[in-house]
Amino acid sequence: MIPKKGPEAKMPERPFPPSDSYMMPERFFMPEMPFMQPVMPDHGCYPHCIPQEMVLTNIKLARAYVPFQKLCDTYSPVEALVKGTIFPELFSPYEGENKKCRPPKYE
Amino acid sequence: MWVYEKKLEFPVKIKNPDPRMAKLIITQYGGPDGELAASLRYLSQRFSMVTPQAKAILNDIGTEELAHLEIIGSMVHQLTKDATIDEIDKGTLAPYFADHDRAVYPVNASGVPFTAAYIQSKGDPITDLHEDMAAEQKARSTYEYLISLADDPDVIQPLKFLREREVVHFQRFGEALRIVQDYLDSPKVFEVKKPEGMK
Amino acid sequence: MDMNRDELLKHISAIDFVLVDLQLYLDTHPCDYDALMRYNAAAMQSRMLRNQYERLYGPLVSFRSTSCYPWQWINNPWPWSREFNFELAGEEC
Repeated sequence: MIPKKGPEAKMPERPFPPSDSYMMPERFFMPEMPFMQPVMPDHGCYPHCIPQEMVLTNIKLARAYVPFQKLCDTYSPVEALVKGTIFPELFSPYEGENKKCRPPKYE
Repeated sequence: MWVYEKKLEFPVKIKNPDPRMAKLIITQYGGPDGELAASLRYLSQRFSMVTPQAKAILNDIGTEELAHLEIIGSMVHQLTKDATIDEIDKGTLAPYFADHDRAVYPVNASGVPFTAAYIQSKGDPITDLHEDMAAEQKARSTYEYLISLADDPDVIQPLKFLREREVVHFQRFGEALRIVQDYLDSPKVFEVKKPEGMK
Repeated sequence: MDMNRDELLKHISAIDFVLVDLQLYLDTHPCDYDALMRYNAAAMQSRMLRNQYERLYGPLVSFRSTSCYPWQWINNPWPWSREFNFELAGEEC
């Protein structure tokens, strides 16, 4: 079962950036996750959890930027398999152009 | 190295043969925006990529694309396996049948065989990641066209799954691009060897 | 809990898919502790279900799983066949 984050869950102390030599010499980059004022409806089991960064800083010209996703809630395993992702914020259904569903020709 | 798991990432259980659909879906096997192109592209680019995160993403998404290649191959196989010659002819699959019978062969929807010209592995990490993001969008669009052309729920379900995976992959490549951009922007310290003769 | 082959395979496929999506997320968010805990929990669940499946229906992973005699890996059905796969109730179109 996927453990739910309780109110007392504490993150352990982690050095930043990690001192694991595997990560060096390339710098291990951790983008800013600015504090966000929640103005969102309840997100499943994680009320007021916004599943992405909302503010980009220090952006430059002639560059493309995709906002970072942030983990909030996830679908149950079978529902996730049907939908194609565990993340509700990435689920983007497509029904087809002028869809007409025909019943199967023969069983 | 690769290890094979004896199951598909998404189940394919197609009850009704449909050579017309097989001819179209095969483009995601051997076509320009298909899964073979995607996996070769990412698995080739990973050698020259920077930052552990981006290398991991290319490695892991490249691996997942091989699993998708298998799903498409299974779909084409199940759509043609029990089709009669008459159905194959009516589905305009006769030219393909003449060369391959009901086998699976990497071509696009017009029968053009796969070529490495569909992919690029430029070496520049920013360039490669933009190529990858474009590839995911092209694949997503192709799946949307195939979904519009299909009418069997057994076919539409795996196509929808594969389309959604492209959306997720785009997000991951976008995040890898952010990480690589910041890595390349950041100042680096280089070790300089002490010249000989210096105390 | 006794599941038949299709049910067991469905649950293994589902939990393995959770692992795939979480792995990709962790590749770009390696410091997300919550995600890592969820990944490990799902990995343990997957291992339990796989052991059950392999005990009843044979090896799942090449170069890793053990086999009874005679060599089970070659057995039909293979994953690309209709018979291998389970029904997954999705949305009606």
